[in-house]
Amino acid sequence: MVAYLSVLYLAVGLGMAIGRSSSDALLFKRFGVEYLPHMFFLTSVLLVVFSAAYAEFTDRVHPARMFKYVVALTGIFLVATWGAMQSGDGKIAFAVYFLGYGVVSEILVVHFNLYASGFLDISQSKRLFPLINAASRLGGVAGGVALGLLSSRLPTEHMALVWALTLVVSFSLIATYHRGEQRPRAKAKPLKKHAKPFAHIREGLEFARRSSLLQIAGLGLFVAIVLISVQDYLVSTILTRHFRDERDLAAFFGWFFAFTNFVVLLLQILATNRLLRRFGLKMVSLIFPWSTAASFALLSLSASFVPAVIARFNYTGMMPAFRNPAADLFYNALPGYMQGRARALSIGLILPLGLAASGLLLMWVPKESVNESLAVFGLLLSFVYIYLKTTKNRIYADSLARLIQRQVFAGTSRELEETGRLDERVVCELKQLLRQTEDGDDYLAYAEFLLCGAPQTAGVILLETLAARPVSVQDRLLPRIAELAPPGWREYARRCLGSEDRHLRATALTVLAERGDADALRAIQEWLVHANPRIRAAAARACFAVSDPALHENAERVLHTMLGAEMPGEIIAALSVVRGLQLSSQGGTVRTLLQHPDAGVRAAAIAAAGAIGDASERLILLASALQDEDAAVQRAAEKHAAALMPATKSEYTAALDAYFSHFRMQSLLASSLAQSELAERKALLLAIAQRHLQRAWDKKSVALQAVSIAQQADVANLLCLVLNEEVQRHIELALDILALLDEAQMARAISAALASRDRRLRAQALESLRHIENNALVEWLLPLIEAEHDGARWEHPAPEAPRDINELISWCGRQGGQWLRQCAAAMEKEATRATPV
Amino acid sequence: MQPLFDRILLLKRVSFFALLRTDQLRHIAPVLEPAGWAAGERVFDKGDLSDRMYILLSGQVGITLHDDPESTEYVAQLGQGDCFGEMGLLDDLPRSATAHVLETAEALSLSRERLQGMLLAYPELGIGMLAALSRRLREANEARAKSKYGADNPG
Repeated sequence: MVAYLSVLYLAVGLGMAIGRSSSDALLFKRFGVEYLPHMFFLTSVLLVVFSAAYAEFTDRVHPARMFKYVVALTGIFLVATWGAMQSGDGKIAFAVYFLGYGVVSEILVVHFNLYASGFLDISQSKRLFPLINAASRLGGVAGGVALGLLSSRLPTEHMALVWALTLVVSFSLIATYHRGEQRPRAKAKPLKKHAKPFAHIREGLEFARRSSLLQIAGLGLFVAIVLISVQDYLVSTILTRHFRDERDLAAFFGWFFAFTNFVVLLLQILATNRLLRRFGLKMVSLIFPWSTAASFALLSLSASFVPAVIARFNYTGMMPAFRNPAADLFYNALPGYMQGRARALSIGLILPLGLAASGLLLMWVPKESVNESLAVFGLLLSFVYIYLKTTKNRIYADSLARLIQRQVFAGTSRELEETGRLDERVVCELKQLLRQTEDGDDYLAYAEFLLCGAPQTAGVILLETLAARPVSVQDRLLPRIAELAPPGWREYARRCLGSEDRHLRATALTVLAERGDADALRAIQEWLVHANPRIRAAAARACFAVSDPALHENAERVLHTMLGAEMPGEIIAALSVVRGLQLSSQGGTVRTLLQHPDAGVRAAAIAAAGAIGDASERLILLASALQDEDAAVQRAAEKHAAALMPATKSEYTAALDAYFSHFRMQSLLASSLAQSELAERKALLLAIAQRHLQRAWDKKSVALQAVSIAQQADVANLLCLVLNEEVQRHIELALDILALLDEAQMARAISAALASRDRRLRAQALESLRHIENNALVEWLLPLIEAEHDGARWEHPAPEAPRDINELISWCGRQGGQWLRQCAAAMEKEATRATPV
Repeated sequence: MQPLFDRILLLKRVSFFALLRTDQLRHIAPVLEPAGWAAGERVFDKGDLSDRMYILLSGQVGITLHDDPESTEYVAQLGQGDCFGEMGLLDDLPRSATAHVLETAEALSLSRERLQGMLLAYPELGIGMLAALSRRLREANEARAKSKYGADNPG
């Protein structure tokens, strides 16, 4: 089947090469190159008519039979045209031959792909289509050579018959292969009902209204068609002037066609995919726009033979080698349901529109202006094309990130605060829901929505219903309402002071005292000696809300007593006040409480450590809490880390350096630095991310070395495992930093896609990564990710790579993360113990 | 190599723990308690209280679903690195099978309380457990389908 399709593609490719070159030569020399713009216009009209007719029939006829019809009709058309050309009655036959090629080439390409896809499933298509396409290119080479050789022996119009002959061969091949069609072919797919092409185009237009990628891609394609048409017209005019008759011109076109097809084949095999893998679509998609600009620049300097040949190579060689594969890949950033419609829109609407517009534009250009001045126009338009491509790259990257996010769960990207203002209708509905619900959690959820989306009315609405809700709900919402201070909130809070629930009483006291309420201040003294520690703590906090030194002193004394108490609950209550007020006076006690046997106290102490000592001491406490044996303490340390962070650039630099091997500390420091107001934060973050990636490169190399060392020493297995884990953690850290550097959406999507086991998603993630602005990081990240996730070969040896187990342990002890260093230290200790003295 | 490192490497090979990093496993490895049985003993009987799960370090354990604890119709035979007894820890129901020690076995055990704490601290552990349970369910379905096919097509 593959051999059959390859031979068929070869035969068709051969015929097309002869058709293209001979029809060009005949039109330019016999009919007149100045009519090329008219041909563009007519081709666009004919394409619409014939594409519609083809689409109508292709629904009803089996692809094999349809193929035979297309081939047979083309053959008849060619013989008839040849006859007309022979009669010499008029030049019109040459124009018809040219137009015929334009229409047939499009329909044959479309139908050939449809026909071949009936034999192959998706996975076969990916592997076999490049092979079959290569056969078509070889056919092009053979066709070009054949034309080059034959044109000196045969009149050029006879080439229509040679082309017809290749169609006879194609027809025979199809007929032979499908002989006895009644018996089912093993791989042949059942005939499918295709949707109407106009419906696809209409839907494509609908999608284009919503997709900025589709809009910019459509505009880019339109400009590209105009550019290619302008270049074709200019080049064809120059070449027509250069060659004496159509035989020389046809021979030149034949040899040139063979050459370009051969070069395109080589480029597709050797360069395109490698460039796509190495630099991504971002760079490859710009090759053709820049080569177009360069060729127009040459033509604008001199509209002569050599620049014309270079320019012809641009649109016959560079376009299929670089522009077409890149354009195909762009569709991957569209959701699957949109891709078919987008293609239909491009081929069915933008291509004919572009051709028609080019035709009309060039018809308007005087014949004597088809020289350097037209090239200057082309050059200017090329820059518009480059701009559109660059914009498209940016939109493509965003679309790809969004597409990945649709397929993976990358966390909630929008906070409640970002939902924006609620309109009146929603506020009314929420008001109703607040009245109706009997569930406390539901009430809190509705209240949160209201407080975020309509703060101006939330307080009043909540006060209408809050008093009838459970005290825990009132306790949660009272401070939020106090912040908004709606009419009547103070009366409500005073009523809460008399509540039976001590938590609600404490909250009410705090909010009222903070706002200087006389009732609350009167109650403070009494509550400072209350039996309940939470009430006492609330009273102490309330004391600091009032500018009365005596009350402050009193509160400090109460807090000190509470912090020295035996009951963890009492200490925790006092620590919550210390945390809220950042009281440095209790620093010594808080420091001691970080060693308390109760994990709850340790967690509250680390949360309250924000006012202790200097930044370096606070970071030591934070690092220690992050390694606490109790997960609750670790979580508290992470949650309240922001209060323990450095403030100045030098403090951050020192901290990032001191805790370089501590991944969690690095992550917290980076996050805090990103949120700081420091002007140098971006540079600092980039530098630290780059340092992590450099270390990851070294570790990756050493991990590979460890695999061979493990054959002699078993312990290397663990070191290898830990090294690879740390490589992964360095990558995650770098991606986190990228997310902090204004690339949040994309970095989150990339991380989630990389964590998935889906190869396609990972490929999309890598492509997205290539579009990230921070190129310096991407250059380090890409090889690492490719090696980690896709098993790409790692070819970056580390300097001072260890050669035996002792060197490996020593390297890990020096360069490893915290855990790797601990492993290395333990192994070194064991080795020392095991060595006989 | 140090026993801790040995244990970490062993846990890394157990599907339940495979998704955890070694620096996370170092916190888990020390809290696993050693257990051992001689051949012929039973680790637990069907209907017993589910209070801990086991990770086999050596030996062999046969699992039977029969109500009679003496039955030797094994639905699974487990070896080094396999886990058993975890289902009851997740659904709070009594043991659904009897575990017979076929060859003198050593294992590490994990209590319900510790497992729950670990699941909160290391969500990856839950994903590993889900993967292992899915695999076990798939195997059970296949075995059931085979036995049904055998019953429908005797000979």
